Amino acid sequence: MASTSTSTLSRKLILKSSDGEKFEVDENVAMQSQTIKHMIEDLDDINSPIPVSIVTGTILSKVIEYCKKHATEDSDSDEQLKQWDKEYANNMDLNTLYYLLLAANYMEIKGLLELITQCVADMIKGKSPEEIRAHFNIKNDFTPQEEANIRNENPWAFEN
Amino acid sequence: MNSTNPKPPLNHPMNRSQQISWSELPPDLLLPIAKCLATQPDIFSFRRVCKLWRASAPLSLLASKNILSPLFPHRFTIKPDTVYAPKHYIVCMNCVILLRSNVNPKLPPFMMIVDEYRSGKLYVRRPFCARVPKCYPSFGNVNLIDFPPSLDLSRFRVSKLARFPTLSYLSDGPDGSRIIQFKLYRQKPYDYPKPKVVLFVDPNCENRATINDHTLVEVSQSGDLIVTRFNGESHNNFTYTPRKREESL
Repeated sequence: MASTSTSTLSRKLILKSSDGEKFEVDENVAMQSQTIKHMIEDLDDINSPIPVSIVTGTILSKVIEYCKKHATEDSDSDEQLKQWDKEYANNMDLNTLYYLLLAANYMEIKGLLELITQCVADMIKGKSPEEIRAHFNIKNDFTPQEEANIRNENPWAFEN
Repeated sequence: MNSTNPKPPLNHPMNRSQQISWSELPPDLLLPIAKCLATQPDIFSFRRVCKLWRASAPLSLLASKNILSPLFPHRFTIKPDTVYAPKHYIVCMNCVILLRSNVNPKLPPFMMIVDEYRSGKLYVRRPFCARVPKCYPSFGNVNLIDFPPSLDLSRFRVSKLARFPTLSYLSDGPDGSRIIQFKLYRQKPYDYPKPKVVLFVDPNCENRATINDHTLVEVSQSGDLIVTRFNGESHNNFTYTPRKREESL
């Protein structure tokens, strides 16, 4: 993986995905992940690949893309960074979002976790339960009786 | 889509032709998603999706959430340049709802306008019926003859017909509960004109608009346009007098 870092002091780390793909990243990029930060502290040999055990290469490359953007401070204004985040999240399909959410949670990247969570919430916004199920491929596992009871709990089951 | 397809394991290479079922998401990731939802109807919908989602979003999430709109009611203060005291306003979301009884099929359907003057509570200001009783109070809830002080909406099928914002002046400070408007038009209380307002949203902010992306345009009694820009701390407004009255419509 090409690096554009100007700092020669920054150490390089190698992250290894669950399917064996290796990514060389600057230490400050990888340190966005609390999980990796803790792993590095316990590591004797910095040059050996760090396994990111549940994240595939496809997802890990997306995670690194996010971390790189957020590791370089002062280059962008808050507004620009927000815009970048929005486009980043909007370009993901649902399956990618799903695995990114799991990856951000596992790797403890707070910003990414919040971004994806908000993005998913925005998709739910304004939808009926049926529409949400269709969108997220979820099976309705309530019995008709349970459904009726739940409907009564909700005074705002607006029927449009 | 065949729902009996085996779920790919977590580290399975992605297969784009098959969509993952989000019902398998760990509950500790579902709760933060539910917390991001801004209105009560959204949270109720979330709870109706499936058993796991329902268990992940407790009813306590409803506290402090709005019903009709995530952003309104919104209170703001205009500080004029002159010696006049600051003026306090509130923008509420209103909704025309149609109620049909679940319990008594003989009860004819009826409509009313509700507004969310206080977050999480709907107030009936004006019933939608041909004859309005004379006992119209000056503030607060409408006290109709035979109209219960509160309605148990679970006994009705509620349909949203229309939504619109209204602007009200607050006479006693930013947290005031008194809406001065009701006083102003006491002569014809059941016919008071709420100022006509239109909310414009910055078209660039899609579905994540905040209050600061909104501009409120009010058509005053004289036909002037009063434009209020919500902009952080300093909400400012200016008046535009059209040369011809039609311009403002």
